[in-house]
Amino acid sequence: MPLSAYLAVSAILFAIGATGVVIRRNPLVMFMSIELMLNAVNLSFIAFAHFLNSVEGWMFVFLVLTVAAAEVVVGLAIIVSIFRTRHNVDVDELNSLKG
Amino acid sequence: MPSSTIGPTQIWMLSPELSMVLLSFVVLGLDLVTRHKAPVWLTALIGLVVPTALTFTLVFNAFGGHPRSAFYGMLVVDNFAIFFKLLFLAIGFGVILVSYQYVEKYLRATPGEYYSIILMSLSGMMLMASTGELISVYISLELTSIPLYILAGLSRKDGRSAESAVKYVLLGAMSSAILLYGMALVYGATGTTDLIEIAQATKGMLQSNNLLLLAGDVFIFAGFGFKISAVPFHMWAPDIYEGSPTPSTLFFSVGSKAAGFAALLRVFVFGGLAAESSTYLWVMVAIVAALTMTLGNVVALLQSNIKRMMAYSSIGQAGYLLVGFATLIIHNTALGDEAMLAFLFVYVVTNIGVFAGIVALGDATGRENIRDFDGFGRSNPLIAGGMALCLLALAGIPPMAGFWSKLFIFWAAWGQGSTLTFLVILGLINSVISIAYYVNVVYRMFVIEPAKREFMRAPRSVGLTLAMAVIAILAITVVFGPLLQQAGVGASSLFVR
Repeated sequence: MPLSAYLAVSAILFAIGATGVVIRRNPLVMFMSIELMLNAVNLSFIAFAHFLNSVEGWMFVFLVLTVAAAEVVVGLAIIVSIFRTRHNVDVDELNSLKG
Repeated sequence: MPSSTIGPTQIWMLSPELSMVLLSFVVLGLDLVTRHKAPVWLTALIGLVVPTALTFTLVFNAFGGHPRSAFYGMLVVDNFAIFFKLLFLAIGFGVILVSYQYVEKYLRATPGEYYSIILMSLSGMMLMASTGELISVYISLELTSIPLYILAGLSRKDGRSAESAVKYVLLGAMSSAILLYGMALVYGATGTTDLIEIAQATKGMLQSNNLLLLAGDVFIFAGFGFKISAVPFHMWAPDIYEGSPTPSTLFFSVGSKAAGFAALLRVFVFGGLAAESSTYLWVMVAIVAALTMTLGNVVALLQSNIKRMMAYSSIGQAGYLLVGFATLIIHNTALGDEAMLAFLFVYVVTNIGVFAGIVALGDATGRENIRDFDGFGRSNPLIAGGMALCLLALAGIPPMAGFWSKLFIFWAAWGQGSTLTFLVILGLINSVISIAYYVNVVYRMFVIEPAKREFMRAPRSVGLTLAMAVIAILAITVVFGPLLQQAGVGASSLFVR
């Protein structure tokens, strides 16, 4: 398969993920959409690394995976803490800050 | 050529960050040993001397000269990096000093966590200024950001704090995904993640409108746009500034923004992504700068909460900085860069002063609306006077420090051809608008009568922070030259690859 096929899939996945973050209202689903965006990025890194025959792309993917896991850990902890105070995690209900 | 050995010299070059991480663990551990708050705070504050001293050994090449880069080009220690390292250390001192009473009062359970999270984020910021690779840019960006998400939600009983943390973590994670996509495209276009090699590979590519590289540039700019709160990626800032504990708001407004600009300059100038004055790029940056200035300053007029007002003010200030960035892209000289560094320094110092005043008011009254400043000048003339000075310096009233730094940015944009005349005029209009909301606070403090006249005691540590900020502002106002010279040295080192 040509490089452009991989890039097209990656771009479509990224767009789906970005749309998900914008239109979904549940923070957990939003996090899943962000994961989709990150995996789209990983796909393009690996495709480039394969076609450019260079190793940096592979390395980048490993680091992205680990750091994204750390980010999700913090995100979930924050969501749990907001659930404890409100018993509701819908982001449309999070509206005490605006103006 | 990146040095490929790892020895004492390389460890020494990384030592400010290493000692910062170590200090953050010590502070965290100390929290388990002692129940008192003061030792934890003092350790964090005095411990900062160690990374500062190590940074100074790098400045003066105390152990013989060091190479420019280490760890296979991942770490670059040049004058630009050192300028920002010292700036971040100053931020660390200011934020930790101002926090003591606030932490005591509102974050009782977790003083050790609070300080160690700040120190960890600081180590990320210091790394961000001296990255030589896209990989280390990403890692240090996350090392900076993840602690900031926790910091936003640290006051657990306050629902607003948790809300701002959720918003921050979602938008922050999304922005890093966008940044990464840009990095992937740049990697695809150039075949390397090393910034020096990228700079060599991109020669001529932007001129021929290489689509992959151009798209990568746009995505990377958008990703950093979140961190520096540029329009249209600014919407997180007001909510998060308002909801977070006040000292952490200060940390976001100065630390996160300075780190964002440090990484932006490092990638775009040192990495050569903007080295060819591509028309697409500078038009994009100029439009973003115009929108950022205007929206920030106009919406700040409408705010009733002082922290929200400062959020929009910081968006407006980011707009001025982006004018410098647009100049840099068009002319590819150190001039715009130099102006940005000097401006950032003044921005950091004045913001620390203003937030010290906000912390003092919050400590005495527990409120943070602009109208709560009524008569503050009579209930505590010293704090109010210092804060007023910082506000006026931030507004850029001549002949204060903020005036010179802003003038220099506009002069750099004006000086070289007429392409940015429009931006400069818009910037001047915005500066006039911005005076209205800064002076409004000063007016309320000194002219309007307070509801009840009684002396409002301010914590000593807050007063000390404010005093240091005021001294720094006065010093910069009187002798602007040395700062500009240091900024110039830092700025020009970015062009040496």
